[in-house]
Amino acid sequence: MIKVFAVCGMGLGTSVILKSRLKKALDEAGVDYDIEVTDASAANGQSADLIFTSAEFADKIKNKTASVHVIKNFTDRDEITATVNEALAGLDTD
Amino acid sequence: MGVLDLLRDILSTPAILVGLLAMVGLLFLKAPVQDVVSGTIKTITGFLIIGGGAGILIGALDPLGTMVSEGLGLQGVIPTNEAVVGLAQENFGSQTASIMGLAFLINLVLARITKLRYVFLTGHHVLFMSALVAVIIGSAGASSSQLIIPGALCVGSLMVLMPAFAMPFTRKVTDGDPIAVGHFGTLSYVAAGLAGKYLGDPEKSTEDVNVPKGLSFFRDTLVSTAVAMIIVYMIFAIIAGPGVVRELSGDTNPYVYAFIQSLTFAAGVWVILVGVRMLLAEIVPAFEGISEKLIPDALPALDIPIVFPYAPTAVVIGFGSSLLGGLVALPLLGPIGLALILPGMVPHFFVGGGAGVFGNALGGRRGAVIGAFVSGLLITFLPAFLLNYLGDLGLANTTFGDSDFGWFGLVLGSLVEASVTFAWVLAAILVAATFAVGQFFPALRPRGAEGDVVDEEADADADQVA
Repeated sequence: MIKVFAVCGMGLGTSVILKSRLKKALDEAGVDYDIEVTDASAANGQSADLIFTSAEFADKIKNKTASVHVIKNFTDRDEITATVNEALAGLDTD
Repeated sequence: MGVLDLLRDILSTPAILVGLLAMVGLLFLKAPVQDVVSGTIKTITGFLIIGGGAGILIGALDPLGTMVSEGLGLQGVIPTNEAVVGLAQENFGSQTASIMGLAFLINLVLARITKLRYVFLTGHHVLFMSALVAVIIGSAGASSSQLIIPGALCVGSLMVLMPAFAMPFTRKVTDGDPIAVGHFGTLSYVAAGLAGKYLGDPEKSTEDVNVPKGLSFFRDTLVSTAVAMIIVYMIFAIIAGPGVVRELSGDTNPYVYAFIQSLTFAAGVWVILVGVRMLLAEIVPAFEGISEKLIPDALPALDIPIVFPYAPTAVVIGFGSSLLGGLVALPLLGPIGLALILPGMVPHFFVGGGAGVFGNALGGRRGAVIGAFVSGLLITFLPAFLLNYLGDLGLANTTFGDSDFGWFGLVLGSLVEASVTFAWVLAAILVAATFAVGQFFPALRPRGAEGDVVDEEADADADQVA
């Protein structure tokens, strides 16, 4: 089971949408996962495997266990799928 | 009788209502049983967390209220949507939850049958607007049965009308990307767009300006709220004087006490945020999933930060300019008999930042500065006037922040003050407006003047006939 965070400024609006799109990509990839939405400061304090966020927050997230992945356009499903697959590939080699 | 009583108690318990809403959504999407159970439990727990956060927050707000009123003789109010919605749940929880659930449904119906095919996915704003409408109609004396349906028709209509009104400007911001803004700060974005269009110069973009990196810590809303509250509490602790504060603080040093209370305020906001997040984490994706099934060609209307990447510097400039507008308006409030609206960081950042982006898209730097300044004035004066229509909640030390809560609350409040049946009239007008606007203003449709697919076919038919 991998733990995934979708992160935005308040953890209310944008990240919820990001979550539902990430879910689709993760389902397609066929992995066992648990996904949560959060804001940047909360993302720092909890352990996770993968964190997806926008470019603005990427440098604010200093999570010890997780790798951080930037999604430029939250409405672009192709970009989200590609980023998710890349992130999952990175996990396997660890 | 026992069964009926049980049913009544279930349906009048807001936490259970929102849980049912999430459960229906998850079942509709055929989620696995364990997801339905965990999603429903998380939603109910989230709602209960909101109440807990509101308790922490009131504990910190009350002393500030005392300091402001003892110091200046005015009511001190910090517009923070999360806080006021937390407070509203005590008396209007089940009405809010019912309006929210029905409003999602009405949004789907309107997006399906009118030409305004927007699906409003900013769940927390639907929650806030539902609470506002429940409080205003309820405080005017309407019973639950009188307020839920007209309230939901109003909120559901606004969910397609607001993205539509912003659309001509949103198109300029995103340069044609298929994105709509679904955020109840629309009045600010339209005002900033117009200010930019008529007063600005789009050639001189904000994005050519260098903004100090240090300002980016304001992007963390917890930190910016905390910093602003430390300043506000300290200023009013000094104005009220140590004597007044010591009555509140007991043996503790007055300034240490004010410092801790200011951070307790930030802590309360954060707890409420966690609750709202849990409440919406299942409901919004379910709503999105349902809308994709029923209206595949609808355009999702998203939270305002979706436009921030198009002009990140305009966001910072907009925030600063909006805050300045709020501070300029501050000394004007008392003399005209209004409560003191202290700058709430969350609305100034998100609405002000958004106004900066819209102002910049149509009028460059000058557009961003003027647009966000106007927005800062709006989100200071509108909440001050709104307090009159919020009943007991109008006496609280917090209120609704973003501009659409202000203007819509004033319109609704002044109507239902005359008669609660006017809520139905307003609801009918708004529903009619969704049809009329979609029909007669093609630029406000998701795909703009070119029209949607149906229109293209009609045009093609017309061409063939010709």
